[in-house]
Amino acid sequence: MQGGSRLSAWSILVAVSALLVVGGAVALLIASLASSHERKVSFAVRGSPSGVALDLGDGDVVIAGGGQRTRLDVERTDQYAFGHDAEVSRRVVGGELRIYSRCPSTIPHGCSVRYRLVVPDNVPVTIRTSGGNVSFSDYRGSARITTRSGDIDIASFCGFSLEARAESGTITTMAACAPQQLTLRSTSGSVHATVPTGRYRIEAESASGSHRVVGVASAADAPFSIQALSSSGDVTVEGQR
Amino acid sequence: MTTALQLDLRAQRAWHALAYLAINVPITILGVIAVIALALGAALSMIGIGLPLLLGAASLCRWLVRLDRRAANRFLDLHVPPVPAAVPTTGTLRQRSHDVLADRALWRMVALLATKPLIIGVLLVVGIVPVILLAVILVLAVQGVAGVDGVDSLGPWQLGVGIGLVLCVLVPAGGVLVIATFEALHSVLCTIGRARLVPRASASGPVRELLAESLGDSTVSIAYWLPDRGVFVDESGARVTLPEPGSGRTWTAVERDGRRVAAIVHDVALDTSMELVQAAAAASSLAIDNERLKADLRARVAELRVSRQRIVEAADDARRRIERDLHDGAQQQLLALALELRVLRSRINGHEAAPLVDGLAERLEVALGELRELARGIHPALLTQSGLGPAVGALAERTPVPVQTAVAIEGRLPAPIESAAYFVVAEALTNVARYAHASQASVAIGRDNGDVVVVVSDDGVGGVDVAAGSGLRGLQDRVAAVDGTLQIDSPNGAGTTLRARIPIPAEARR
Repeated sequence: MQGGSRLSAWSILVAVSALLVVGGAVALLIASLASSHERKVSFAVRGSPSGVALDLGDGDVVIAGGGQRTRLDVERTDQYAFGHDAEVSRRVVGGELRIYSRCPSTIPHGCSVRYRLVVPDNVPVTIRTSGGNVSFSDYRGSARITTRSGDIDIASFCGFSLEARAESGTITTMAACAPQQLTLRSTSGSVHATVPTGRYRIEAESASGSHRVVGVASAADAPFSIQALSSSGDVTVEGQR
Repeated sequence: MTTALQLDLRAQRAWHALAYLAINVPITILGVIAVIALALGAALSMIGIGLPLLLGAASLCRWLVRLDRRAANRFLDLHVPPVPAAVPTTGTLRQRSHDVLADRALWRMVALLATKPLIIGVLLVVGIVPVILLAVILVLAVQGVAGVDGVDSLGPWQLGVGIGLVLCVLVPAGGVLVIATFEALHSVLCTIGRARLVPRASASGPVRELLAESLGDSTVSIAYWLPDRGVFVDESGARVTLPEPGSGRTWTAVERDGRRVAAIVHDVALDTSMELVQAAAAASSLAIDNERLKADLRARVAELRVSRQRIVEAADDARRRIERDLHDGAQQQLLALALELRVLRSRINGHEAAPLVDGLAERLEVALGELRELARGIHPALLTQSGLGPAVGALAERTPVPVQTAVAIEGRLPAPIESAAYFVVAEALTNVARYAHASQASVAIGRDNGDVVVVVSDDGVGGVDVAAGSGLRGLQDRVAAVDGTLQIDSPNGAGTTLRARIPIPAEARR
């Protein structure tokens, strides 16, 4: 090899490679942060629609109860880098508002979408996400939610039926009034349901996790039914005054 | 190009680092299990039921460290000596658990395994970063060139053929980074392995280890030839007898420049041929000769130690004999003479020679006292008969300053240790009486961890210089001859404290 003062061919090669690869990666990251852009879009749908269906991929969504009002507010917050923003479509099919949104697959990952909807009472909501988290507050109506790794968090729910399914996400629901039909299923996430005390048809089971029913009475002829199932997560059904 | 970069060498080192890390993943996981099981077994053995778990966990630890050692020798060229075998245990369950847990080597292994997760984890993370970078570049390049669906854009650019080709150019750069990282990990692993796996003072020389590796016989041992004594010795200088024919072991002579250097002792049924043993012996003869010189030195040191002990013991024996001769011979004669004088004195009562006889009797009494003192100084009969406690008590009584004694020794100690301790006290108290101007002194003798500890202190003027007088020098040599140590703490004006620590040989304990 060459003498001590001169760099060896190998160390020059390593330095150049590091500059190209690591430097390139760092430059991309910095450029992504520098070009990151946030955009807020909001609109309203007047004259209550017959339902709302959201298909959001990795986007998060918050549903707030809108009470007796007759319009539906939608607020979308986009964040994206290099001008690669999410692909969004909005249609009304048979009185049902359908929103579809997907971030493009980019490296580095710089796109995110968050939705916030204010939904009037008794307008049914259907949500499908993969990694997006879903949360409800003060919503009155029926809802069907399906996620993969996204968590489902429902607070002060009051309505006819609630169906929540997740694969690895956790499900937490708090019902302010006894729901007719509460169906909560997660494959590997935990399931936690809080309902008003009373009599329910309860099916709470976990294949390999623990399952616990506290403060509610189980009766086969009860008018309200709770189904809380998980394969490997913990299942808790809790009654609260 | 390739030769200037030494690419094949670097790739091989990187590959070795990767292989060592890969093997260490299961070792680390099983190691954590083994350490937990060992702790559990140790806790359960307190109530006497954990022994099977303890033994199982200990042998798992040993097996894992053995595996780690083989991987380190194979991939990092560390030449780690073999892992010590388990200590054989017998007796009650409690005793056996205690024996297993008292094994120092086992605790070293536990420390090795317990710290593995952190080290291996950090190094794996460091190694995995460039691999992920390379994988991302490779996947994106393929997607871009082949136009496969997947990632839509890289940074501001759409992922197409152009970007794909640029990424293809970056693939070798990523590969260089992977190799450089793992090559660096190789030297890190070597440094860590050398510090953790290779024992500081290896009991057996690395030559033995090398031979064991190349001959494929882990029981290979080397007997070094000491020509001036005509014996074979092992690495520590202890004498070795070569195996007899028909014992299942045999030996091959190692010669250097036509003179015998050592013998390699190995299995008769060695996997390799005799020619290979001969070749290995010839190849390692220089190293073996060096080891032989070290073994020779160790043998000489061991011999010196033994001969010094023998000299002190012989001197003690001689002193005892002289004391006995004085006691039985001259002293008895003088006593008989004194008795006869008393008889004579009673016969010549009133005679003019009577005062003369009185004077003679007095001088005889003084002579007897001086003779007794002399005999005591040579070797106190009380020490031989009654042991350290009474002998030290008698010493304290004869000292002109008040001496507090506390001897907490039950039973008798081996004679060389008893006399060494006694002479420490005797010399110290003589110094107290002669030079210290002390108002009081104290003597404490006790046992500490299997050692005898003698502490003599006074409140005198201090300032004792060991180099000045031969008394303390002689005492130091005497204590050293029984492998003990002597400390003298004597600041000016603040008294003198003399502290001797003498180990009791293991075979003499209890």
